[in-house]
Amino acid sequence: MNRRVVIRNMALAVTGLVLLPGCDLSTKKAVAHELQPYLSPSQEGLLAQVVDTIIPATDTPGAKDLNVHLFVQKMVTDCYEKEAQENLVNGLEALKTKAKKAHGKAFDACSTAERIALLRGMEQSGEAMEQEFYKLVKGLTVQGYMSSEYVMMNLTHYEAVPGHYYGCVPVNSKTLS
Amino acid sequence: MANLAIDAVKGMTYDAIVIGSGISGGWAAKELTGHGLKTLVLERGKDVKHIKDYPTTTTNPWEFEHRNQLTLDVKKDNPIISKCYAFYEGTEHFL
Repeated sequence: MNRRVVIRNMALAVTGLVLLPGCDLSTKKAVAHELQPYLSPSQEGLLAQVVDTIIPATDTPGAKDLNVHLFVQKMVTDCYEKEAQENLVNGLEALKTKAKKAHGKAFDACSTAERIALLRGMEQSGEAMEQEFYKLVKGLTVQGYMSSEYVMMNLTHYEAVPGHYYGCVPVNSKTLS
Repeated sequence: MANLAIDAVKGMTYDAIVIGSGISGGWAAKELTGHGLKTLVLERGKDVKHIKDYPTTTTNPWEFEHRNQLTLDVKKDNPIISKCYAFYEGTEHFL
């Protein structure tokens, strides 16, 4: 091969290597919160207590068992504006303070009735921030719980393709008469 | 002969322009070309191969991280298509 051609091809290859990374058209971005959780461990624990107070374990698992608190956090981090994210943090901190003030102990040390009273206080609070906080957390808790695998498979019986037609079924003689 | 751009307007003028090659657009284009019209079909996004490019068809609702809601990043990067009802977590890979 001609030496000139070889040199030209090498130059093209090098230029290509330099330029190619700039041509990456994929829109996938690293989700920030996987690298850096924006709720502190204690706030996350408190959020778990809150969702579990909203939907406690009975003969069915509670919201905490179904990791709904992680869903709430994920949704607020990835899908909500900064104001909602700040609202979640501030609301949790406010709840901490309220529990201390009203009952002299941490939220997770309170009895179920005391926790419900605290959350109801937020819901019916005169402060818009507290109302918004409760609305956000309750909405996402219900959404996360109802769309969890456990609930959809065992309670609401999800079918990807509903309305199966059974063309051939035995007929009970009693139902005919 | 030099390359003179004298036919550009003619070359870029069409009898019909179909926007979106969905079920209606695809058929419209087929009929238009079938009747001899010079047709341009505009479609957004990558070439979607049947079966191979439907990775979310059998995904269960709970398997979508955001339960089919668009993330803020996706919405900000795609402000117009994000308004479409058919654009959600299960279909955003068609971009």
